[in-house]
Amino acid sequence: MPDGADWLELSDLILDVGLGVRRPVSKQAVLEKVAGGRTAFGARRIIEDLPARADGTLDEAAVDDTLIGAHLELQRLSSEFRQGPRLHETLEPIFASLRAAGSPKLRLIDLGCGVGYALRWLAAHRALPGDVELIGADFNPALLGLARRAAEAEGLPVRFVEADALALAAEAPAGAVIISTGAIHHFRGESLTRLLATTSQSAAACVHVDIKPSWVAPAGAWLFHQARMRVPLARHDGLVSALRAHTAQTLFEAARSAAPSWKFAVLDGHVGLLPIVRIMHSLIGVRAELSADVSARLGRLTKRLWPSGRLE
Amino acid sequence: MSDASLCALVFLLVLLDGGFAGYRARAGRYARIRRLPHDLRAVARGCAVGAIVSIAAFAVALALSAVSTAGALDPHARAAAHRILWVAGGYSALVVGAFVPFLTGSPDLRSLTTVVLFGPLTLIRPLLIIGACLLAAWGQSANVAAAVALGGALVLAQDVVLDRLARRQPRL
Repeated sequence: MPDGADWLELSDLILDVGLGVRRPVSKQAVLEKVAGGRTAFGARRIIEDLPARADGTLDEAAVDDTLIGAHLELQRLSSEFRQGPRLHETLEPIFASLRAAGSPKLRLIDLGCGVGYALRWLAAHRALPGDVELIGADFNPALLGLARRAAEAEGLPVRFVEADALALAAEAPAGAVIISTGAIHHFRGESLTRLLATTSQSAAACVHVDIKPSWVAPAGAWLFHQARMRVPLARHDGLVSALRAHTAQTLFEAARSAAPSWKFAVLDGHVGLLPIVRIMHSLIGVRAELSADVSARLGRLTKRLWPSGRLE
Repeated sequence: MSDASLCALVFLLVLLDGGFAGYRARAGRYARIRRLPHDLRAVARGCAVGAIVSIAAFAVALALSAVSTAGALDPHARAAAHRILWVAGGYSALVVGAFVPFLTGSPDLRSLTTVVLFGPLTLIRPLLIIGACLLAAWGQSANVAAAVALGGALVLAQDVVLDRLARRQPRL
């Protein structure tokens, strides 16, 4: 499906930020995009309810508050779905392998970290060795601000930066692992290929966790977001995320074409009869020279690697 | 079952519901990872509101003469309380029972419990309260039906109160 006809997540429309720059967003322009694009029920109302300033641009404080509210509700879902332990079981063998390969500087970079739940969970549970540097990168200063304050309040050794994650990976190419949780579906078509290609040039491994599309995902996402979320934007975007999430095949093929020198597999990529047990899947990629060792260290998890039970 | 036991069980159910409502009101509004003390405070706040709701509902029943000052129930009130116990008690047992796999199971089992039980149970709760009240009030005297309706409305209103309280709490 071409990007132009793709589903729209409202959180992508109401904020226009780059590195250190925030541009005003016209409420009318967002409403026009919503009218012309594919959105779920209630999208127009959600935008209409956002306060605007006299010049017709969205009120930045209200946008930030809405996005923080939505991300905190996402954090709750991540906690309920045990995203921390699930991420840990793939990262631990990767870092063990990097250490065995002699990587001097180990660094975990969360791309599009939002409020930094994944990294803060890993730090709070001391899930990775203490010398692994934890860095969250995002373009949204409001989310990063809360992530920083939360890490500081709990004394967690995580750094949050408004930066390009791939540039950070390039500083420690032999020992940098790029992760994302619930973000990879925001990269479509060429931008997905570009992300994976750049990752392969600058990092040693990647783990991208996202919603797994399945026959039950749209209905399940709707029901669950209605039950669990209060922020209307979070309900809308949660459903749309399930509708536009990449299939395991899309991720795998994009990864293979973008980074032929790497080995990839999708953990839990197989959609079984009961996809509600494992509603997320993870694209795992490593430099070719690490793949045998990482596969061995993944142990019983290799049975859940799609398509062939190994990194390929 | 004695009238006092019946009243005590309904009180406990409302208290339990308040505790869960208190937790739900703060869930997704707090950023810290280590959140047990915060969650326990939220549950305690919910229980406190639940206790107030119970006392208010009892006062309503008393005012409508569905309950005597000695705590004795008239036959209509007793029948209504039994029906509420069956429906709300069954629902509560399911919710509490779901914590066994959630707290002891593998990540997969926890996810399954969340998707199959906690999510749908949360979604149907308002409908279940309304249904339990309708069933309880069905065929009973007007004063008992009114007491049940007001009691049900109070239980539903506790969510609104807790939500407003939760919104004022800090995110960290």
